Amino acid sequence: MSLPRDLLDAAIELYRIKPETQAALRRSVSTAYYALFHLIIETACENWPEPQRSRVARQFEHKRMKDVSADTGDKRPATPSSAQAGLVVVANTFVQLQQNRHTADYVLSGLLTSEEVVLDILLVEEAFKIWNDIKGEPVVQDYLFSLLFKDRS
Amino acid sequence: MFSVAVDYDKEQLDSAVAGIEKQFPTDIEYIRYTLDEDWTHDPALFFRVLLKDRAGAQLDVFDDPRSQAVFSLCNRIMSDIRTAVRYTHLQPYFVFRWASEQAKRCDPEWE
Repeated sequence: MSLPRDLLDAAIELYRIKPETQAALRRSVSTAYYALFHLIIETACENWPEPQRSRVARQFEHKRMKDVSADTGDKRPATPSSAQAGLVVVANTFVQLQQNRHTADYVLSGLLTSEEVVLDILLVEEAFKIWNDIKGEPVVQDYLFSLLFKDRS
Repeated sequence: MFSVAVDYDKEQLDSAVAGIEKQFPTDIEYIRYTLDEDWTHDPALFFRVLLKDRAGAQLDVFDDPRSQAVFSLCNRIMSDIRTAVRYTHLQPYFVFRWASEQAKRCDPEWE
């Protein structure tokens, strides 16, 4: 198993252990976000051999990934290809989960519901399935490039 | 605290939200939203979608068609709201809750 898939399974198990506690719900959301975060990074880093791969993996920043992902969702074409449509779903899920992860980890004023957590996990599960189908497509490789580099063309 | 000045047409946004509510008359009790900053301090729209309770509908277990049905509904609602508010260039975020859950909690943000 890969780290991203293990993290997603861990998010599910964290939820199942004690869904009545805020601790389990919050750790589950946070772990689901990191599953998607590492899935995207893992794919991007496949383009580099070791030892550069590990160094490249440390270059990704949450804020830049959010900005690029939000831009991807905002600028989707009117008639997208299936790969573009899939990428928009993954990008939207990434942005949503990143915010939810922040809320789960740092905003303690409200209570999470189990429904919110299950929805987050199902969103990430769907993103995993889509990603597996589209990750080799040029539009996805462009997205991965943008996560690290500014396009000056 | 939210401090960024954002230029948007509230009437147009309210109308767009009302349009979404009408699209899902058997599923949505109502939608509320707040303009605020997200964790990166970018202005964003936070939507709270209150779902009508339906017999058999649930979203608290995995690998269950009943959860998948609610998941699909939430996806359709999110997609339609995203399309409806794209003109604002504000990032939308979503939370869903059952009406019965809100009745128990009486959360003022959701009233």
